[in-house]
Amino acid sequence: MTLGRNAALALALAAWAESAAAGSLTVAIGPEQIGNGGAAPTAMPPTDPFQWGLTLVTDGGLESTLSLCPGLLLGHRFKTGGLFASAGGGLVIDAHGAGAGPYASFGYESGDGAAGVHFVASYTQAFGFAGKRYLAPSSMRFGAVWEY
Amino acid sequence: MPTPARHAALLCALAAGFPATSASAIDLGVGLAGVDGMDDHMEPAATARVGWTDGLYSQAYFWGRDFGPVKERNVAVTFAGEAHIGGSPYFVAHYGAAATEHALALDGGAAGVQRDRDYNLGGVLGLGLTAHVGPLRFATSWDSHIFLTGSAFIVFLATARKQTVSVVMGVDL
Repeated sequence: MTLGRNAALALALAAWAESAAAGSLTVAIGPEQIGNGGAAPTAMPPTDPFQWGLTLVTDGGLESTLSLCPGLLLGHRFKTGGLFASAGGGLVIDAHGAGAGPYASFGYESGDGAAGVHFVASYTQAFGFAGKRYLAPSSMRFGAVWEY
Repeated sequence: MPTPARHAALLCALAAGFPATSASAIDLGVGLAGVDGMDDHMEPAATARVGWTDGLYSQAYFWGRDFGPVKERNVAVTFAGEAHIGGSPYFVAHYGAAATEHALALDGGAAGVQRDRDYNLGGVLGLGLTAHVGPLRFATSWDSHIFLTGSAFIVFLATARKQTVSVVMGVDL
């Protein structure tokens, strides 16, 4: 069973690596909301790690997000021109803990998908549970996307 | 003007901005919701939805609580579009405008009632699932109502947010 699970994982990783041959990489920063009330201004200088996010999107639409808020996420991105919406799930993180849950993201990319570096703006909401604790972090980010 | 009358006037004024194509495109529904005000604490709410055309709708959320001498009453109203995503007839993205009113009343006894009222305008983004069974329409939504927090937005991009989840059952008229 372990061998089969490892083989399935290897196949999944190979498929992901294959589809990752083309896509986009986004680095963005903006105000986050981690469940502790009140509005969060973007840190100046931008040293708050909760406000940064890294997102990799393959040509097939697989979206992977590495961030402390709203968390470590894997989903699918639907695009219409420069607009996009994403949905998926992952490890949702906020001030009250971390737990599994869904996320949704909405945004705009300039450049119409052409190779190069372009502007991106996005808003991401997530929903999760850490034990019996309900988590609802969100983030608004602005940054650069590298289409390759 | 009394609060319910003001809400009705606000709804009518904003609804007038939407071009209802025909009577058959309108749907009405009511349901239950939860509202989170950025503190990981979801409050129960009532919600009502009016679909103006196939792609435009309004939804209102009503919630509040009584806490000793304090009465809190809140309303959020959404005017948004629905765009089907992923080629699905059920899966939709929501985008549009949102407005809120927060009212607090503190009963000070002989000193009278002290009132405070705040308004906010912003945007809404979210996901939803809709389905039809005959003339009945079922809609669930998961939305964020996003508000700029004063002039700080210019420099620091500060935002406030109310996250809502709702389940609505209605009819197509």
